[in-house]
Amino acid sequence: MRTKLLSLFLLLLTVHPALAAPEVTIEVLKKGEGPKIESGMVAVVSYKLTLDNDLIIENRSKRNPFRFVIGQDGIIPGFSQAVVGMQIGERRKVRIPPELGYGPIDQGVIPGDSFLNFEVELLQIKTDHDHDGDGVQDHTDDDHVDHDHDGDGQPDHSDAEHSNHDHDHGDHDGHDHNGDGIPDHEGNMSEKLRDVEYLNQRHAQDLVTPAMFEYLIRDFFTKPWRYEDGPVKILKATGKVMLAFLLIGLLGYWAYRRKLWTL
Amino acid sequence: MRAVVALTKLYLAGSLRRQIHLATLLLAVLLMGLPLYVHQFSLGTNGFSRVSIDFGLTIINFFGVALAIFVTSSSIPRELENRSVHTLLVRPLRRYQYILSHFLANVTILGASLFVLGTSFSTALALMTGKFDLSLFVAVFGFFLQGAVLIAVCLAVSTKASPALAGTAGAFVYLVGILPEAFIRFFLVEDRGSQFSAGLARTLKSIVPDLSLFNLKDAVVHQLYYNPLYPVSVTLYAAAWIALSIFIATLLFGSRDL
Repeated sequence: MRTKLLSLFLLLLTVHPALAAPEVTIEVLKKGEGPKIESGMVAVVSYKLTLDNDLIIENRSKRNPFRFVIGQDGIIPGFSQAVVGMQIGERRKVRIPPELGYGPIDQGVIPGDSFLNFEVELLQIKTDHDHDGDGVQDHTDDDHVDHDHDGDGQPDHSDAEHSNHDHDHGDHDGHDHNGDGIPDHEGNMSEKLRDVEYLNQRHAQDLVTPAMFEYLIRDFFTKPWRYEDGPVKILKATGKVMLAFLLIGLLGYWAYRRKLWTL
Repeated sequence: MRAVVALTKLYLAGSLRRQIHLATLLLAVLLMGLPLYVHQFSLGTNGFSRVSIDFGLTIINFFGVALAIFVTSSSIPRELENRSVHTLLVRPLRRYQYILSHFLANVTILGASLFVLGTSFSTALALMTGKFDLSLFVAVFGFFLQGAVLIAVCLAVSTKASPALAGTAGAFVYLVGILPEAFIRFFLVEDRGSQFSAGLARTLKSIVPDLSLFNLKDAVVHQLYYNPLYPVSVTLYAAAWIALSIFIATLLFGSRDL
């Protein structure tokens, strides 16, 4: 009897790892900030899915992100598990076992019993109160003061100075109060579009608008001829070219003295 | 300097013999008809002149680039190939004078062509709108500076390379030179996530002339404000690149065993 029990115990020890529940392996590549996403919330993520043989199965970029409710049917359980607890901007490297992935049956190019390797980044957390999809709730909890009319993800009062509110209707007046030749709304926009931090933030939040259009606008607004300091920047660039000329000139003089070339 | 001027005149006469100006004149005639053609699609709106200007200036820009690259990339290699360079260099002529005269001849051809195109296009617009718009020439001047820089760069490459290679190098410099940062950021960083490609593109962009600085077309088309000192500063920028390229061309050509 004792021998049988001992054998059974040893057998259990042997098969234990196989009986253990399969788990998603998570490695945090970059930390995020803000609240953590929970089950039932809507996540907007970019990801790259590869197999163990490095075959890229799918690549959803920030421009074409994937949006889903965590834990909903139709999403592989491992992916929901992988995203739970992430903060905005966080990037994770995730390995999902087949039990929490597509299982033993072939799914298109994915063979059965494949481990799935995701590199996923949480771009946005959505709630039921965020109808405009900018990542900011339409009304804040208490006083209904922090409106986000322009859908840029920033309450209006924080978009600019208090004296320079960025309401939608105010953007179309075409006035030039500061006399710089650029209508004020263009001035504000151009300032914002030159701010890399703002662009990064906007890019992560305003995912509905095709980003290329924004980049083209940015390109238009950042043309140096639009700005008073444009000539100064070009003179600085000219200085760099002249410096290169000087260095190559010295090299040429050295070569000329050694009769390596002739005038 | 007298030798440079004489040689420049000689090259200009040669380009007339090759009838390069006929292409310019043909395009000038087509540009005269452009506003009328675009007007057919305006459906009675007043914005047709803006569309016409945009079209016309874009055509002039591309013509200037093509002229600069094609004419320059073959000028020195052709003389080396048919050995006519030897008859010139046995005279008391320095190699830098030879390079300089080539540059001046090509720049004169480019300038004259762009002036003819700009004038014909402005005249056609004036006939439609009743107003002669001189601001178009600011944009054309920008194209001229861009072409002049391309000529200098092409000339430097053509002292050592074949016409095909020099032309390819000119096209490469043009494409990298006008590459907007928005393109690098969107296609390489955001879409493909390739920091390496983006870094490579930015490095290449930093070592070739930034040709996008010469493009004042948007300002002219949309009648937007630009700093009056801007054309002056880009002229200095172009002059610096031209001086550097001509110097490199002289170095390369001077080290060549003829």
